[in-house]
Amino acid sequence: MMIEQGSNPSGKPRTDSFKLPATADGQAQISRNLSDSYYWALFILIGNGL
Amino acid sequence: MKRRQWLQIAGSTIAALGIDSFDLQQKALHYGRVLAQSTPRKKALLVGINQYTGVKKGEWLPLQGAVNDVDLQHELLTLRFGFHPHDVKVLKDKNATRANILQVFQDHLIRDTQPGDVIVFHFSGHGSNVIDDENLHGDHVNGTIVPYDNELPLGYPHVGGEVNDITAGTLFLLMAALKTENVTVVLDSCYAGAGVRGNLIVRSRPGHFELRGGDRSSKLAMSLEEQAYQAQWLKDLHLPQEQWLQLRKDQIANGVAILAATRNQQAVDAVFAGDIHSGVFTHALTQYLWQTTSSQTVRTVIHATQDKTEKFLKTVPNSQVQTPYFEAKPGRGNDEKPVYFASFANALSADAVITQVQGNQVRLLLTVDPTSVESMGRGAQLQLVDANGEAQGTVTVTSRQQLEAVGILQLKNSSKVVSGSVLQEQIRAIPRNITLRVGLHDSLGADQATAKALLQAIPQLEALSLLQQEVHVILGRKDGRIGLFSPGFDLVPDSIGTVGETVTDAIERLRATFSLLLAARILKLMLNAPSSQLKVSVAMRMADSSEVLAQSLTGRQEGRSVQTLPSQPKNQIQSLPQLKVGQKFQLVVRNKEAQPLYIGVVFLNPDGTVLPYPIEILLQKNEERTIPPQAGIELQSPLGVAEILAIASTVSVEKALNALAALRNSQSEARRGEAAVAAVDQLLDDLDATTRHGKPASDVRLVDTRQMATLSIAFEIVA
Repeated sequence: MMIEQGSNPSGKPRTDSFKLPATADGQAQISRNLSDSYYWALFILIGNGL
Repeated sequence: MKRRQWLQIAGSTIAALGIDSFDLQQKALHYGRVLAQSTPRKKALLVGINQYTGVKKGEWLPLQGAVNDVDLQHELLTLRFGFHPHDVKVLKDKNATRANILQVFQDHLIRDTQPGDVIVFHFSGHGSNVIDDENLHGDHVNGTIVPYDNELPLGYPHVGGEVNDITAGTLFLLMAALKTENVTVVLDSCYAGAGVRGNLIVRSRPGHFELRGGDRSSKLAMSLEEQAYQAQWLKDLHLPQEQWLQLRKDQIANGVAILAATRNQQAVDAVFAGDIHSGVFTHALTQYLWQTTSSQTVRTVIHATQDKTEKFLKTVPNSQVQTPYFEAKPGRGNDEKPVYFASFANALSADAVITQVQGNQVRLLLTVDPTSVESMGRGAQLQLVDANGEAQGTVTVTSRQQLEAVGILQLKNSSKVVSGSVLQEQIRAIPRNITLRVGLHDSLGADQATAKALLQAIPQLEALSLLQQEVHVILGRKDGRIGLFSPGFDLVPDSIGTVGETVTDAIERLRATFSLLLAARILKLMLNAPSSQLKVSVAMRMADSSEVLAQSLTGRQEGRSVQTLPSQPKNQIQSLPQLKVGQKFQLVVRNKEAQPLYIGVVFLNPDGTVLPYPIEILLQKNEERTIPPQAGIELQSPLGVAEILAIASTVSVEKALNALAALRNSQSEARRGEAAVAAVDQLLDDLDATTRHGKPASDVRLVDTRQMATLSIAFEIVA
């Protein structure tokens, strides 16, 4: 009677379900000082090939 | 929902009882009298059973949260709904025998009850099923609730026999015998599916369905005592047997019945915030009723409870969830009446409620969301509010055990503090030593010891046996391959290895995942949307569309609570919003504060790991921003339930993002995991420093509701 239930296995390396745009934000709508991280922090997250 | 429910009890109790029901005018007069009655009595019987005499034979398991459920319901009814403690009878474990339950139902609920009185019967424990020779519902069984003194027959499951369960037919009669229509029966149990799912225990004892005898004539039937008991009630109610059977086919006997799961689902016993056991449904129901600001209709409440239950249990597409629902006796408008047919004693959203006052020391019941409980321990501060929501004082928590906390009260003036006084979160205290709890599944077999040693060696990670404490993820084996599973034992997407992989290799492979899960776990401790006072909102919409798919906003803008419920379709079970792979979405964040706010966004993948959006956004006062401004964020597999967290803060979260940026050139998945944990730690340190105003740091990090809001939007990614 003690039945364990669950879904079926898949099988591939871990990936993210969110594909962030390569240049995540355009610059036109920014209401912020140009010296801060908003501009230079546009980095690509590691390992997901984006 | 279309399927007949086992509690479907009666057509017209009134008719069944021989009272005029056709005379609408008389009915109206009757209602007038009810409303004119100044003080209808409010009476409840709460039954909670963890231990059963019959579980020792091994066919079924004891429960862990049923007794707790009764305590939660007791506090809610007395402190929130104003039931007098003398009028709430409680039967737990060995006191909840069949004879006692029936006797107290009769003596306390049925006897002396007048029209207009309010009645609540709550049962948390095992349900089951026995043969129904009348086949009223087309599946040859009657649902039951299982009393403490209950044994399966010798030789079960190979041979049947009799059990002393309380069956649906009896519950019908008991409900019908109540001389008021303001009746609510709450059942947190289910009738089939006995067993274990990961770290969850299904609330049913094996019954007639689960007989495995080769002999098809084998039956599990109600006891002769039960039959005699029903016969007596039929006589007392002057209800012919045929009419009783007919009525039970159509509808419930009286009032409203609230059930933890639909007929083909399982109601589960779970554990959250480390060590708090309860029914997933009862906890969701009671917690929602503490958080909301006014007594709402049973329809609204159950809708919200469905939502909470689904969020708790749903991990991947098609994972097993339970969907609480209610049945109302038709023609009475019961579905649009306030839940429990009673109003709130205190119409304020409560994160905690005072249960005892002794000098300046107070005892509290925590009523926050399950994810916030661990942040309401030592160091947390709550504000005492009066009926208008005005602050009257502050409670600083000194210790917490499960949902009970002790604190020191500082009053602003000579305000009156009583049991039931409402507290609202001001500052949460997130412990520094937060761990990710990994459960070890039996399927690991002989590898369990190795797995435990390897996992324990990882910082901020605990390896635990199942069915004891809360676990966030389970390490187990499926079809010979090692992978991660949710607490409900659904496979975590992309976590499964190959056949032949050793447990050592598997744990090494999953190391980055553990870090990313830990980062997500810590971030979730920041979720404070219901209590945050920052005026900020986030909405999700398809790229290039103005239609909002989901939104989240803070709950205490300008000291008042905001209703965040989506519009509710009638008679339809609402699910999480679904988005397809390949679809692109954008977020719209709005700052309604008179000061600038820094916004950070973090995505939680279906496997529970984090993916931070790499840019901090500064929103000026009353500014609205679309993220990302062009294009959109495209969804891809893995499928499942994902979440978006938007963190709004009066201080910059830039340092936290720098912690991530420092590793932007690294290609190592493991380092990405470490970076995520470091970034979250940095974020909390920054918030803590701001909250402390230069006072020394401690083993908890303080986050002020006036300085930070973390909002969440959950949705499902489908193919």
